Amino acid sequence: MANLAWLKPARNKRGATTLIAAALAAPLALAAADARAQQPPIKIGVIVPTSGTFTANGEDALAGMRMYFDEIGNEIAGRKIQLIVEDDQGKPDVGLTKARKLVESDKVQMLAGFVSSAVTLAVSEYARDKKIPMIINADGGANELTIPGPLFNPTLVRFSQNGRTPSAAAAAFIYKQGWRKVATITSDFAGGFDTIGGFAQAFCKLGGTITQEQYPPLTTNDYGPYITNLDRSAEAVVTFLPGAGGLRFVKQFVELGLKDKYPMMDIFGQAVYEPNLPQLGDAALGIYSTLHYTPMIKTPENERFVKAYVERNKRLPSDNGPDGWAGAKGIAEAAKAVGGKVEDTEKFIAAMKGVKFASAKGDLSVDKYGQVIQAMYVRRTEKAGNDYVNVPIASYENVDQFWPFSLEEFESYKYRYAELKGSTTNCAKVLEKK
Amino acid sequence: MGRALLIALIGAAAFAVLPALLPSYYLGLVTKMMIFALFAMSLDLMVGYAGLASLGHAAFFGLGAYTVGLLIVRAHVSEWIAFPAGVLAATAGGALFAALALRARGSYLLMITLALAQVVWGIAFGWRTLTGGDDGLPGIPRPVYFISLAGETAFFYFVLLFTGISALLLAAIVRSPFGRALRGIRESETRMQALGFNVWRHQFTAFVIAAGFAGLAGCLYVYHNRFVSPDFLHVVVSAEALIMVILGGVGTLLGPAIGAALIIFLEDFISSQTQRWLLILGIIYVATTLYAPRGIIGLYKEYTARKKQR
Repeated sequence: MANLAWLKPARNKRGATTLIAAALAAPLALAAADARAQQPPIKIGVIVPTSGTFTANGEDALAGMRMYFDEIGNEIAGRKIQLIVEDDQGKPDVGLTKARKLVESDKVQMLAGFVSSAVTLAVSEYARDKKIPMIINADGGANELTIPGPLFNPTLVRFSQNGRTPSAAAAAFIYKQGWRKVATITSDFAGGFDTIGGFAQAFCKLGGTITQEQYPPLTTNDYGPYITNLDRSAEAVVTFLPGAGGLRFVKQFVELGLKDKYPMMDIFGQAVYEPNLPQLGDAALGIYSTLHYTPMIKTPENERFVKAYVERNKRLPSDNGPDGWAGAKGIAEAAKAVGGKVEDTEKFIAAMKGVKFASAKGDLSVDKYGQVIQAMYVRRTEKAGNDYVNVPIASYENVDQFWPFSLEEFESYKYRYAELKGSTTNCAKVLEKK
Repeated sequence: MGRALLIALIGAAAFAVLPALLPSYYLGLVTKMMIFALFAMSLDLMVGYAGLASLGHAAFFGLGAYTVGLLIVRAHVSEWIAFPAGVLAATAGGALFAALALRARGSYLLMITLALAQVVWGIAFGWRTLTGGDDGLPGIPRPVYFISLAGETAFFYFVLLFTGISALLLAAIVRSPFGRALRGIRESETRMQALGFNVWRHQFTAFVIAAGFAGLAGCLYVYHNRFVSPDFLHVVVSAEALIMVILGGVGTLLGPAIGAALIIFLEDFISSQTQRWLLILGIIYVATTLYAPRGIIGLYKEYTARKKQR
């Protein structure tokens, strides 16, 4: 769900050169084959959008994956790694057709990538039937995929965030700041309800109250009415406005003179998404956001990652870059653990659920349901020289998918997030038990 | 007539042996082609024969699809009821839309159908608790009608059966006096009116029949994909269906079916080869409009006509 929009031109000129290189290298490879018995390659089908709204996310994840596999020489346990990339256009039926092609025609041993949650949900059904390992490492935040229930997929591991954890982190941070009453403004679509529902549940549990909820359509051009309508008794404003919405909102929030009076928490960092920052300029300063990554994290792992990423791609990574990298590393570690026998789905997935490693995002491990356990960062937009950046000011380590709840407590609530639209101001209903 | 029957029989036989020849992925792709062929043919009845241009045909495709999906996932109804209910819902939706839209003609009709379809899309997109919003409804199993249709081969025959019968029905409709009257209306409404034909009733009937077949295609597509999403209802799907009809040849039935198969194949094939596939597809569309304005069938007819002249 994070970081929508911003079309970037697709680029891939590798086709021809790879072919020539392959032709030249073929005799060499044959010679080398004598030394070691030739093993068939590990084929990974990567389904990401490389056209349409989510292009930037897909390309970042793919860049992260390629970076890791290049680091290890594109080989695991004596088997070459072969990536076959397909464009899902952000449409679930296209994604499914591509998954069928990859599995049935290209004979890939696993599927990876996935940005849009609709595509992820559609492919998950198919992958579960075919017992094909599915690695989500681009976005694909649908909560239900890793929670026991009808949509749960036992052969799936997600190395990117699920939908609700950045919301829970936002609630924890706001409460810690001493702000007890907040007003929310959320885009009117499925992802929006999941995000704000997750926030409401965590915030109510802590003892906070939502005094007002507003749902402007995704395509809103003028946020003026929503801003002037804002409940003045609120101590902070919580937003989830993907696409161009966040950008417009912040500009008008400043113009109407309210930004200095109300702290703003931007769940998932949609408004302060890095490509937006130059356009927002000083307007973005001081906005809080929560996400599982920011390029400004001060760890050796991240500094090395960011440097290599910028060298390769000539831009800063979004959260999808390290997600892609982490998924690739997860695949490699698990494949090593099973001696390269990735065809044994059960053992391979079991091994992947046991991986533990440090990454640009922080330390990662996987829970038994296949969701990565990782840090959540609270960031604040600041000025560094001439650039605007999201600086981490607080973090929550080892956040699992149900955090701050346990699975049992999480499942004991009566209403699912989407059902809470229109009643998040009523904490009694939000926290009603089954 | 004998020759047409022979061709139809040979065609059916050729399709029947496909599962033995094709690997499962390509069989799935042919299944998808057949579903969209049916969808494009239903639109051709409206556009090509009744002369009613529509940019909202995906609404009926989606109405059928969502009815099946909702009944199975939310209401746990038997597939024996859900499937016909889907077709019925699309037909009923067609009747409602026709009643509202048939006051307009030409580009105004395009706009009204587009607007009505967007309403349906808006409901599917916005009503999160019922329809799942933009995540759609996953988890719809392939049905069991006497035998399980979970396998690609069984499902292929299932779709072949429905598409085949529908194609024959549509062909019969356009050759019937009703179909001829439709073509008359397309050429000149006032003249047909003067001849005593009830123009509105003919157009209404054509609209509803087209909606019903589009709904059938939608129901089949749900089972094919095993999920529904608002994308099924999107204006892009309506526009794509129009392109299929135009590319194949307006008012030929066979043409739109070929157009549908070709576009599905090109989308799949080219997008696997290059990331610039949208550009290539665009060039093909432009080239068709410039050099084959009457579609593939038109091109073929011109070719045979020229050969005869010689």
